[in-house]
Amino acid sequence: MFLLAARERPRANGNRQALFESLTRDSYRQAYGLAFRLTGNAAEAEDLVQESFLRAYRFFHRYDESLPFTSWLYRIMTNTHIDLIRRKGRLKTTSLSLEGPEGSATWDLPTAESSPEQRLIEASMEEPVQKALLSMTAEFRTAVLLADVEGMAYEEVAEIMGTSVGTVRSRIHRGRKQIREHLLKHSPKAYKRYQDEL
Amino acid sequence: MNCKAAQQRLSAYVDRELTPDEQFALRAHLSECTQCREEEQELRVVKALLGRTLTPEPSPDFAERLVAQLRQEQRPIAHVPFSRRWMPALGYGVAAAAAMLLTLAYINPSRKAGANRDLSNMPNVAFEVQRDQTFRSSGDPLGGAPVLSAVYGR
Repeated sequence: MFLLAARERPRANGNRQALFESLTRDSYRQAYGLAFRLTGNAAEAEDLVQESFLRAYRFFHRYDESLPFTSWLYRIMTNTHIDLIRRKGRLKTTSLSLEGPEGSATWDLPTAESSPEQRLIEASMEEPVQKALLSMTAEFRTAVLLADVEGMAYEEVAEIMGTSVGTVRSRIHRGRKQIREHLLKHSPKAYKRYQDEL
Repeated sequence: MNCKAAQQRLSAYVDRELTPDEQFALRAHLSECTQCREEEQELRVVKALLGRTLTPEPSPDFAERLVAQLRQEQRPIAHVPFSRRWMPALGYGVAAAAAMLLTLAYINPSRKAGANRDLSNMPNVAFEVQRDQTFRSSGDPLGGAPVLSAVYGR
């Protein structure tokens, strides 16, 4: 029995590497979307994703497969985001990589449900929303993004952020209010147009 | 329920995250309070706005760059000299001391140990860190506590 176990171990390690790579390919897109919202630009988003997956790989032996991989990865990404802010200082709020007639060339195409007018109005809110997000603390920004963009329940957000549901509730509530105040202050016309269109 | 208590619960109400009792009490308040109903509506607007944002896409070659970087990480440990892998600026002696301090820092329970219960195994980390020798980042990614900065007094 012992010899069998010893022979299997190197192969199991290779399988773990292949498994991790496959998980990476399945999840990197969604991870990048969140990373972009957390950092506000493509370069830092790439840094955050790369650093997060590297840390995830180094600690892969501690991943419990009964949990969804993205939850575990997002936990690492959340901590890495805060870590990188501490190391690099404040986030760059001046350079947003938004170019092109309706926004960045790297944006996904909007869903077919919106009319062309709606899509224009929604596109005009992209940059103001991102600026509002960047003006918040990492904790508030993360909580709001996980709940409202990633669509997670409070319990899952709490698990990812390593905090209580009560704290999540408070962060989401105050975060949304901060976003609203920022939009009213910096983009009142666009925000009103969006409210009317809803 | 007064307005202050109601407003604190409005986001959770919009997200259907209130307990049945809270929801009952809040609904009763909302039926009689225009101000709170307006606040509820404003929160719904923000939530809808965030939900309708477009998903940023990475550049087309990002996946390959990411995988390539991970594969570099997977290179066998034996091929890389010890001093270059651990801390470029430090010698063996200081690196060994750092490893010992890291171990001690992990063995001491951190404030966040309770919150980490589900996603990390704190007692095993010290031995895994020593054994891995690939640990370069400044903290346990699952715990969020910057251990190395504490060690170097930053």
